[in-house]
Amino acid sequence: MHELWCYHESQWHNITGVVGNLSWKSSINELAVTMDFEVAYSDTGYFTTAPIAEGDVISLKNGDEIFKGIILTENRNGRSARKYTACDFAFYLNKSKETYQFNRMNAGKAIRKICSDFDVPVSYICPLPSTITKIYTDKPLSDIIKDILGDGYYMEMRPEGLYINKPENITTSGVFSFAENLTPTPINKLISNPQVTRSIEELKNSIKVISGDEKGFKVLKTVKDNTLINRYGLLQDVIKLEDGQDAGTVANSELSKLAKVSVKSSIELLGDDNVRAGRYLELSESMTGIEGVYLIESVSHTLSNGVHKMKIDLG
Amino acid sequence: MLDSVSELAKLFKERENQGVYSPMIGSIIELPVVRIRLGDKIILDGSHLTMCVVLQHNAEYSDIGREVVLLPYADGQNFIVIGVVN
Repeated sequence: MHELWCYHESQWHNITGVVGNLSWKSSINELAVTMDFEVAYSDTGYFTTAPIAEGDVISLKNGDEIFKGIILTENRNGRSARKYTACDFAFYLNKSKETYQFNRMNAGKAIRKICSDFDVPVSYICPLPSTITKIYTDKPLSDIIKDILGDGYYMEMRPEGLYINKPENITTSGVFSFAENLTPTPINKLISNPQVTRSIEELKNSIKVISGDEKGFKVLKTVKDNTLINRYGLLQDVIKLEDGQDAGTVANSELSKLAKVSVKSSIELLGDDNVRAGRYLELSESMTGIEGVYLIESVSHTLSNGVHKMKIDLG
Repeated sequence: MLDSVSELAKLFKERENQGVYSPMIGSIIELPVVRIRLGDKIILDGSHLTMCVVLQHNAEYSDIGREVVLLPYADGQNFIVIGVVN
């Protein structure tokens, strides 16, 4: 059973009994996990107001700790329930700015230095082979870390600290039970509201790479996917080459990334706490053709009237 | 299929206002192999700099310690030294 605890005036308080409409959301496009909930309120006599205020630390537990963060906003609306928004400690990485210069420093070491400077705990950083030589002037810390990481990694703020890994390193398979004495059922057996959108809006089937120095522009490499050009017409993108990059590698990498029909899917499932953005989920749904292993782009958990549900956007 | 709030936030982030472009003032810390300090944390060397002026360093006179005007380019990774502050 989920419990919500609040650290208010140097003491932990279990506020589960007065909390409703609890929801939390994680997305691979956003570093921080956000949480919303309502707390019962009344101005009648003998009604004890919950010990909770902006700036308090909030913790969601279901056996293990699922979320730990800080209350950012409180909304009071007459006699209605008070609404709160909380954010995990990545909030500090999003809101703080600093200047850094890295000279041939290992990417992992650079990220650890940033976290250390701002007392942000690190849970795990997978081996990062790249080195970084770059100047960042007055940039938000989260932007600096994302730039250092590049594509192919995701990060999340866990209760124990910043966690960075490759998405393919984590697959998840949640379960649910209708009652405590029944065998748990895999969540992916009961998919509801499946939706799939296919689009060629962002498709590019030709990539031109040009030199990017101050001495002028020169076309270095052009690669095309003729099958897609015959099918959809010519859709070209131009990439400016940065120092140290190989034109052929960049062109082929961009083409493989962009020369495809964009498929966006979403589903709704019963809830499991392990389902977070950046992980993979195996699904099989015949009506819309959602078949295979999918990256979870974002997931919204809602806990209302004791029922835990999830709305998942798939990559 | 991002929800509308996330989609809007992503669009705003992509179109975030750039900081105002302006010249910067650095301080020469080494010559004749030029090294310029920019703020507390950045040290610029020949790999970052394109010189428009000749910085002097000889027995009679040295520019070490003087301030220079820098124009950032290439997304703030390189700088043009356009002059020494009088």
